[in-house]
Amino acid sequence: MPNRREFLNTLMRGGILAALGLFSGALVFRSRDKNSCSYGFDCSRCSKNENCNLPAALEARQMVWQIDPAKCIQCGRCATNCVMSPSAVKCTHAFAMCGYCDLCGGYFKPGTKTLDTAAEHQLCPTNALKRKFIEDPFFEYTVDEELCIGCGKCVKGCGAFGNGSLQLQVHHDRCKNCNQCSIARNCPSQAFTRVPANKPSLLKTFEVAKAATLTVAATLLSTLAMAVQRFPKPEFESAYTQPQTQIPLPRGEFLAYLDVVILFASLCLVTWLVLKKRSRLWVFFMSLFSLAYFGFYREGCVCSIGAIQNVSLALFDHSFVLPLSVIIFFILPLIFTLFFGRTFCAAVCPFGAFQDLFAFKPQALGSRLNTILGIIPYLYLGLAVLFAATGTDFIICRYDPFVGIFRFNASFGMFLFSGILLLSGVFIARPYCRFLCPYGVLLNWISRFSRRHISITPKECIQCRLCEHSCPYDAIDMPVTTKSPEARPAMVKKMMILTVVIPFLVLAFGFTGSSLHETLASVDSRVKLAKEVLALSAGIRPDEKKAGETLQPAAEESFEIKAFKASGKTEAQVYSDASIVLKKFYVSGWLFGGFIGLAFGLMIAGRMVQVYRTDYVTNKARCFSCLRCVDYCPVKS
Amino acid sequence: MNMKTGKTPFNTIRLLENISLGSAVFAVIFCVLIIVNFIQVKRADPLNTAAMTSLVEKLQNDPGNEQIRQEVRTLDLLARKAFFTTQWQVRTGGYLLFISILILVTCVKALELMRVKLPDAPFGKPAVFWETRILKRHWLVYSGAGLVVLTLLLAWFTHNDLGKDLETAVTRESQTVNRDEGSGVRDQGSGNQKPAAGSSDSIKVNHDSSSSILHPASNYPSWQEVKLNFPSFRGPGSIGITERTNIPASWDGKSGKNIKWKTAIPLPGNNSPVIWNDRIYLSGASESKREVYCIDALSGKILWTSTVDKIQGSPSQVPGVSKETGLAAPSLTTEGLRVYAIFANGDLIALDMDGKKVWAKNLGMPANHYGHSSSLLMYHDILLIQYDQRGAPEVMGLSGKTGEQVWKTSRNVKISWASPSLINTGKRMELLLSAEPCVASYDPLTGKELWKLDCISGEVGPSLAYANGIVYSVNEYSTLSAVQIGITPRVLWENNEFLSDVPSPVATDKYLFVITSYGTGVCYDAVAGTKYWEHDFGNPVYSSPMLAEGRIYLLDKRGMMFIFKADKEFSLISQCPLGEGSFCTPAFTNGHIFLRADKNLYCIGK
Amino acid sequence: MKQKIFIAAGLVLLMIVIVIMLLDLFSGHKADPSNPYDYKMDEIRKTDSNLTAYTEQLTIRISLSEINAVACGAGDRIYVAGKNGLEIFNQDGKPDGNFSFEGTASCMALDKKDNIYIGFQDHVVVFDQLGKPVMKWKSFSSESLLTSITISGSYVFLADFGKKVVYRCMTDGRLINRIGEKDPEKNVPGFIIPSPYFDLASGKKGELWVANTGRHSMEQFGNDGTLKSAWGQASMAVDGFCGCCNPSHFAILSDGSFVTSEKGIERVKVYSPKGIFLCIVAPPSAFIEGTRGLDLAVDSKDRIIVLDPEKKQLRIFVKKE
Repeated sequence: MPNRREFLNTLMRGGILAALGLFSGALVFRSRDKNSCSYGFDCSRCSKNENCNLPAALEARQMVWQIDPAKCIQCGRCATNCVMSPSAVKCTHAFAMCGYCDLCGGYFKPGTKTLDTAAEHQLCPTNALKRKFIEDPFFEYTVDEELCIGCGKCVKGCGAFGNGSLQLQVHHDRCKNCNQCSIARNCPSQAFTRVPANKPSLLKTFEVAKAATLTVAATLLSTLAMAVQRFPKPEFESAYTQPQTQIPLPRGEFLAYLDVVILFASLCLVTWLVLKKRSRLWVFFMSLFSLAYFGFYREGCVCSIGAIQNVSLALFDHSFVLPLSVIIFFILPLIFTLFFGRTFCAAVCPFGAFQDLFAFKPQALGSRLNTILGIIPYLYLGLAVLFAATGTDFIICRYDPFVGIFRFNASFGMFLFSGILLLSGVFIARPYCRFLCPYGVLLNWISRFSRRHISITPKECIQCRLCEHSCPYDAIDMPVTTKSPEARPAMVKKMMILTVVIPFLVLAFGFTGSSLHETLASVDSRVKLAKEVLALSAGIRPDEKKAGETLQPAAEESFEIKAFKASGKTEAQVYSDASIVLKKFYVSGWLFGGFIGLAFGLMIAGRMVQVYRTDYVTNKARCFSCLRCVDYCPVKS
Repeated sequence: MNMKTGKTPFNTIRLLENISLGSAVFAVIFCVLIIVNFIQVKRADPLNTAAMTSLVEKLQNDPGNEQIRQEVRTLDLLARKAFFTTQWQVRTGGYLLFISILILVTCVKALELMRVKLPDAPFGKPAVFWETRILKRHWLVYSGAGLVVLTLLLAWFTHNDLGKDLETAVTRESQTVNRDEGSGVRDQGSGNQKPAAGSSDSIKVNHDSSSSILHPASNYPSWQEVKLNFPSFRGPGSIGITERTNIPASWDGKSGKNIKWKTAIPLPGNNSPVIWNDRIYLSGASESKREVYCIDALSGKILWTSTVDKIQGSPSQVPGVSKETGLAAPSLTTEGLRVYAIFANGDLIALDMDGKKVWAKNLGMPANHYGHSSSLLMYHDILLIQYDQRGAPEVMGLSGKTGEQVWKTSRNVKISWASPSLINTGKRMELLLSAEPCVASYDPLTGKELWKLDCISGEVGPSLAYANGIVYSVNEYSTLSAVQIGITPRVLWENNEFLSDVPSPVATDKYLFVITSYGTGVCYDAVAGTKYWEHDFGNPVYSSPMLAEGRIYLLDKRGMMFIFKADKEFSLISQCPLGEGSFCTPAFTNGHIFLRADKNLYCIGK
Repeated sequence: MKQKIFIAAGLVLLMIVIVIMLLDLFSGHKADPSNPYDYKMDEIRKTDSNLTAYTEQLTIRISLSEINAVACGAGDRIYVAGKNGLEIFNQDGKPDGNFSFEGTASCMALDKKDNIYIGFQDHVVVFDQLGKPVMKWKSFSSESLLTSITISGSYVFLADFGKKVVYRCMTDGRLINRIGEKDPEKNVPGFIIPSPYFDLASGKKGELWVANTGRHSMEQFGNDGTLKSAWGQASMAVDGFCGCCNPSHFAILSDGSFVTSEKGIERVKVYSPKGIFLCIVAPPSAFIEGTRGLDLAVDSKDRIIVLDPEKKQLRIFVKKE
């Protein structure tokens, strides 16, 4: 017979389900039409102007990263900042624009006298640019993409002296299409943009050049613009045929849906294994599969944890295309959790599976530590959403500890980072899941209302206490047979206080968060730029060391400033952009703080409610349904 | 269970334990190796080794030399080989590490499965639930409070008025943009182009445009742009230094040698010419009349004359001034958009580049027994005025556009006849003023006093010199002091052997040059203060020496220009007579000097 | 006890992870100006200032966009043509008229009667001083891109980048012959023009000079297309023509010596009639890096007029005394 608590649970469940439904519905059917541009596509009024990819986004179902050669200033960061090494950015040769020069500015070091292929003459640091004689006086230059590291040296040389036929492009066979490309984040000239996956190249052609002439940025292209139109290739007498320039296409879209299917299937399977089969061993094997597929094969992308950011950005930025698959990846585990507990964590999430392997000597942390460390995920979630929503950064992906291992490719620092985390996981089982994972916060709260959660014992508990220490995650609640020692009036009083305290907490934390907004905003590139420009316009360079009024040689100014000067953007634009961002941060600072405050309030409240239970039960919020405890239970069904 | 089945698992367990142990050890070793190797890779920069670069240089010197070429190639090959092997090592090491860890994990997991699980028997009483509850509650509260405090502290320390700064910046810039649209100046070029140069579409270039680095859309010029002109008394920032080049070094007023033109200035005035692009600006005043003149630098013809009258609150009586000062002592200033002039009776006027009045006001008759003589300065779009009169000495910043007061800071000093200086300390711009008893520094944008140091006294006439972080103040019957500026400014050295009461000193990073009013020039070590030389030029000097192209240009009262090296040995390069006496400080453009003498303005050029 | 150590160890490691994250996020990575793969242009852009024998006398701001051509007419009036219009200045740089037209002018020249010949991509339109189209030539070819035009006597010479050939026409547009097509008999190597800069000019005796940029050479042709003489060498050094294809533009002074402009290393230089390097007019430092299309003109006083499309200026240089 359903008691009051169950009834309430059902209500909550219904509520959450409805909320999730509405939310995902809103995401799927959110308007990406004319009204989605607040300026009605009058780009002259918008500060983004040519940096806006909304028009393209309106058609596209999936976007990928690409470089706009018209904006690229060859700062070399493509080579150094890509998560892949060597970079996914490669030099690409638009043969149609090449002059087949003997003295190629992209091939030879400046000042080279004898034009041969000797090492000391080659500009390319990795010898990736090949020179082949065709006929007097024409030479063909081809890029060996295996060797190319995308440093852009040749691009600059060719651009300066020749036609700019050598251009940097993202090669989608290497590009992981990260949520927030770390090159894009550091690209001083905003040359990195999202383009529709079906048109993944921005190789400089007549169209681009023409577009560029419209913008103030590239008046120097204007002459080219006329010419590129029908760039006549030299009249070769030898039977030379001009190669076609090819750029590898991104991964097919249907594969994304394959992932979705596999996600759904494995969720079903795991849930069945957990609730019906109750077999730790099978769950373990299942987790190995997930690790293999979502982890090492799909290289940790797309993942539900990261999806948080896509979703929150999509809510605020209409030009951001949110593929259906990502929405599903975000929603599906939540729904499963709502009904069956965190079976997703048990064996579907590759992160969980991976850490689970390393829980060699799990230690019980004790309730105190669990509680305090339990706060961290809330902060992480808050920050992640804040930064994503303001379009600043996708920190979950940026500090994704395992993706590097899954790819066998990351910066040394990143490997170290993962190493340390895994090492800590030897003693503190699943450290990321318990004390970092932002998605875990959502699962945690939803799971509390789950309908059929795994129970330690299939029948009623015989109080043997064998499972007491079986859980490496401190997720087993012991029986509380003594009724509340506190008298009812006292409790009521506490509740009264809470009703005052929680709003207070929300406000207090909100204020704190807002007062931090400048610090938070300092992460944003637009704000950084504004800072630099401010310093510059005060007649002072931030990096100027010595006194005196000597003109700064251009070398000393950062690429950001160079790019800003070249862009023809006005200071006013930069400042107003930045102050808009700053305002956003102020507001979201309040929200962020408020959220944390609320979390605290609820946690405290949770520690006040009456509890009475006779059995050893799993803590619905924290239990990962890994079934370790089940093996300890002597009672078998 | 029987022995058979019992045995095997036991052995396998032992085996597995050993394997896992071994693989663990392996993993650790590989880890260390990889780290070491990685550090090597990081260190190595195969293509820019000293050896390589030197060889390449050698090769460039004699391209024919086959041997060097071979060496370069072999070295290059070796470098690349080494580089790629280490990379290969790191990669393979990584894989091996991965494999060993894989083995480790499999073994451990296998062990977990095989080991007969002995659930630890129930022991002790379970912790008392309610106590832990309360405990948790408290800990939550503590940590929460801690978090808040921590965050607030962080906020407090990292707080900077970025928001406000941006707001102000935005408003300033947007005004700018409006103005540009208003005056129809077409600025759709790239960020590096020239700003609005008055109404004329043509600019006589008197500077190398290469260095005109500008901020797009700031209507007031950047500091760099300012420094390419001669917009105020004693040059940009009014510290007696100009970066203009190929300055003539010989002329003769009588024979007219190298005198391009000379133009009579209708009204007398001791203010020195200031220059923006192709135009020179002067003022003159009689007891009844005050005028501002704009003169074409090429032809010398007066392009326009603007009479300064009908100013509200302009006093009817004539201020009592000494002959040396006169009624139009302060030099004008400009930022290329407007010209600003101030007169002994406190009349202040802003004219556009065509001489039309933009705004004007009277600052009140200055209580000044010799006559007001502090020249004007411009920073960004703020007009800076040192108004150290008896009773209410103050320094103020007015909006160049409207004349409204942006800031005003009252000073606790005596009357001063010195002119303000504007310096870039490398960290910020500072407005420096000199008057008994102190040298004081202000923020030119807000008027906030940054620092001051008591080191001067008397009726201060000479303005300040500045170079390399050191400010030099001097006055007759007082001392010459070198003030090291910084968080806590301090006097580096003092000297009161040679002092000036009119000409201002001028300094380089190495040397300081002081000219006394009776015509003795002295050179000191800028930092140590040791005297290098003194030289008697024979005649009194009122004009301030200027430093250009490493030479000092010194004009004495008779109009004789002494040109000597700015060096520790005195070496006179030439001396050129103008044939007409002068109180004024010369102004420079590339290839030209402009001298205001008693009656005429001279243009000197090769 | 042992347990405590384990926990401590785990916690410490965990904390390290978190601290690393926070630091990395908020350390506000100062944008570093260094680029490990920098293409050092600064060195090769340096020039010996003693070689600079000219000084900039005058700059004139231009309001046109996509400015491609400058020419000098009677009374040393300076004509600038760009997108949809033309501006005229007197010799002191004061505005002296302008008119507008459709399309982007790619090159321009004036005849004795001060008619203005403007090349538009593939055809020529002749305007009078008031901007009235006097004559419109027919298109040479759909692939044409006229990059230079000069008038000597009764002939009009046009450089066509698209076809890599020079046309000799009558002033009414009738094509007489093509010059510079590859022809071993006349030992004409043919033009190698990798980028859309292909300039020509007529010397004082009316002889035709063409910049064969791909070979970094200046070539003189007779009216019949025979190659008379050639000079020029490829070099980053000041005395040669840099990059893959230079000089991008040139003009001829009254004494027959050449003024050349280059892209890549932006510089304007003077060569003797024999092609010996004489001096620099404007060093790279005088231009914004990446400036292209420095069209040149020379007036009767041998003042050198440089069109700076990047700064949108006409810059007039005179010899230092």
